[in-house]
Amino acid sequence: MAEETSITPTSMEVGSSSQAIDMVGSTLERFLDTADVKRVYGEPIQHGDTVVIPTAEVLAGLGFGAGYGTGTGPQGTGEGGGGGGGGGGRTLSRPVAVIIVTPESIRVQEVVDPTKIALAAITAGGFMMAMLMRFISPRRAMKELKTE
Amino acid sequence: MLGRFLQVETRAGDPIRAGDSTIVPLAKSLQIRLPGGRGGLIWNRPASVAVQTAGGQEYILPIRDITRQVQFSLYAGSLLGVFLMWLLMRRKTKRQAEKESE
Repeated sequence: MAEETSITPTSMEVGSSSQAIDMVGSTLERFLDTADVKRVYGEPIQHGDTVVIPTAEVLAGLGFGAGYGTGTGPQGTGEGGGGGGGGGGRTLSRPVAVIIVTPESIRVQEVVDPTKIALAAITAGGFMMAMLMRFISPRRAMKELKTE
Repeated sequence: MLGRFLQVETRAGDPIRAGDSTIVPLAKSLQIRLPGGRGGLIWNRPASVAVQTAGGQEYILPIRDITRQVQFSLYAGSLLGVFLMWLLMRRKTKRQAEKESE
């Protein structure tokens, strides 16, 4: 149900530094664009008298790193330097609700994701079971009795 | 200082004309910036819509994320359940210890 998109990573394959800077710039622009309201509200869909506006939650993360170093040869024979950098990011989006506009009313219809809820229930239940097993284990009870 | 790295804001989008009504979408975003411009995180979600009807009536319709609310409730419930179990088991162990010492 959730949509995942990878933001083009800046990589070592980039030929020149200006190309790399351009790529970082465009990636940052795309990243900052995620905070725009247009990313959350979709285009209104007209169907007869009804207008439907989809809404979604967007989560985007981005990171960059770069390094540079210089050095000389074994007996000071030569000098050189080098550098590199890279980065990457990811965008996740998930539908939250739809706004339904009819001639009579305007209402918000929430989107419920049963898979996510089921996974959360399994995780929560598993955690509780694991902790219960730990609490009722005879070894633990004996240990607690000894310490008190 | 913190505002440079953490920013929470509510933004209004362009008004949408739907039938006789005008809808202004509102989104809430959380922006976390890493020091030195090395990256960051943006969490953008719909907050509510401001509705203006042809009759001049204005109201806000909140947008609730049911899936997220249920998820958090389940996790919070399991933590609370474990805490209660721990309290019960502790009390039981204490009672057993008291009985044995008598």
